[in-house]
Amino acid sequence: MRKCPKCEKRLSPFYFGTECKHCGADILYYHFDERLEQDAAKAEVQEEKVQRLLGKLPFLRKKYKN
Amino acid sequence: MNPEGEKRYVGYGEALAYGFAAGGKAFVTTPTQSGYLSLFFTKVFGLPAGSVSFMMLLSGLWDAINDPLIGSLIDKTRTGYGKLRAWLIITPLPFAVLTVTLFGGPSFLGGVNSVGVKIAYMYVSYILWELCFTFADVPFNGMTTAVSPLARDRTRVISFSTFISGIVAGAAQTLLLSLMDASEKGIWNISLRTVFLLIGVISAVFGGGLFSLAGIFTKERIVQSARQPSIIEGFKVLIHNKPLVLIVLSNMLMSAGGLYNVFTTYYFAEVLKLNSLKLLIDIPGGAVGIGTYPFIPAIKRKFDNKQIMIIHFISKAAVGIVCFFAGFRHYTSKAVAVPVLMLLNIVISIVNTVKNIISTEMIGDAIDYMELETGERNEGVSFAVSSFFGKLTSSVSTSIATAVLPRIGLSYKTVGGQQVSVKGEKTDFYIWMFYVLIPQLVNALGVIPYFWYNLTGKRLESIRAQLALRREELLAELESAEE
Ligand SMILES: [Zn+2]
Repeated sequence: MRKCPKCEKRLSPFYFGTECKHCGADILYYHFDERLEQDAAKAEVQEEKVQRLLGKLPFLRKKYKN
Repeated sequence: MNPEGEKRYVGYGEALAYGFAAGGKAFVTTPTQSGYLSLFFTKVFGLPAGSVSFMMLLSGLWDAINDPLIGSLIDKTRTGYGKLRAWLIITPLPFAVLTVTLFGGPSFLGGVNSVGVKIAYMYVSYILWELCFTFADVPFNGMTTAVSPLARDRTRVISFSTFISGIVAGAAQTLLLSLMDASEKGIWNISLRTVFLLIGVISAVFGGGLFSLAGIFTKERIVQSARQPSIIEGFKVLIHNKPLVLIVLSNMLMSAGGLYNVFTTYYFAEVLKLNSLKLLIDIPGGAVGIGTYPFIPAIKRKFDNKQIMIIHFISKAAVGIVCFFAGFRHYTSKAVAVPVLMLLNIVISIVNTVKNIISTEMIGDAIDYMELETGERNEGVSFAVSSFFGKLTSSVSTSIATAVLPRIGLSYKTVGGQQVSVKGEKTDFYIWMFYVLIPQLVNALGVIPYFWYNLTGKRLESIRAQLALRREELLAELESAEE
């Protein structure tokens, strides 16, 4: 579900405006840096999962062993 | 915790979603490639070849105006999803409908005999399809740079997309060819008309469905200027974007390699007289090409983009020369030609895999460079213009190649209702030369613009650092405007 990053109220996926209908926050850029950091954290979790998975493959074990 | 130097914003999930979306796009575009499309309109729809090629010519000319216009319209877009992603959310559904409309034409107009009505249907369905495709394709390509300010994120997204789309395109082609064969050889009691309707429906559902993953799962992570650049500004910026002009110029010189595709076909058809041998020769190249992907991060650490491009030009020219002389007196012998062509194919496949990723990435660098100069990003116009020139030069080189055929003594005459080829004394040799040697040498001309290309090393690093600062200021402005 799509939510406003500021007031967290529901937004329709087909609403294309730049500002939240409820609180007027900039949907895309509100606390942009913090949200980027959240993405980075999420990406890292996935990264570790994949590395662990690759480490289980015998022919790749050397390369990805930590 | 990864060190800062390894930071990423785009996780595997998002990169895979983008990759599968690229696969979806590849699936839909396979039957619209010029060869199949003209076969569809003439053989299946029953339209005269002349009106089909005239329509293709018109639509090519229309693209010259249309593509950059759509690009700048996309650059003006500002939504809560960003400027590109909004289009990726809107386009999949109409695109799917238009794909069924295009390939279902002969089925829907089953009872109609009027050629005029059919021609009108062809124009409307194809031009609308192309229009919608551009609105989907340009933002999709633009996403490779807007998805993240970090080069390593961009590299992965582009690699996943070329990897998956390569495999899907092969599958789509196999499906199309086997359905056509099954219909024509009576293996399956289905008309060609129905085959194409089926292809249209499968492309729409499977290809369109996969393509919609891009709009759902990818995100834009670069702050765009609040001001919307006007259309004229978009064009002006483009002319002043020197690195982009150099990349496009080089791509044009390279795509003179379009000769390669044409002469590949003629070599197998007319010299070896065994079309399916090409499939055999493609196998090792295809496998090695796929095997190249895991090494891309290592290659990128060792060389910068410009160096990689130069290595690509030299390797192709070198392998072209070696293979040309290796088969110099034996080009009609399968025992010599097969291993020599396999070698040619392997080398080309390795360097093309790397080159395709790098050249998309460099357009991203050129867009970054222009952002630093003007404060605005032009993903739309930049990708639209580069894809337009790509289409233009490949069609020009195909027609040049076709024009070369009679000059080297190859012609066709009808004997007993069948097309028979007539060859001169040295025709086979010239076909070998235009297949193995010339395209690789012409491709190497693409190196020339790179002598002036300077978005590398320290300069690129400093551009990226300055941009990061600039974008933070932009954000701070936005946040303070909000308080
Ligand atoms: Zn809100």
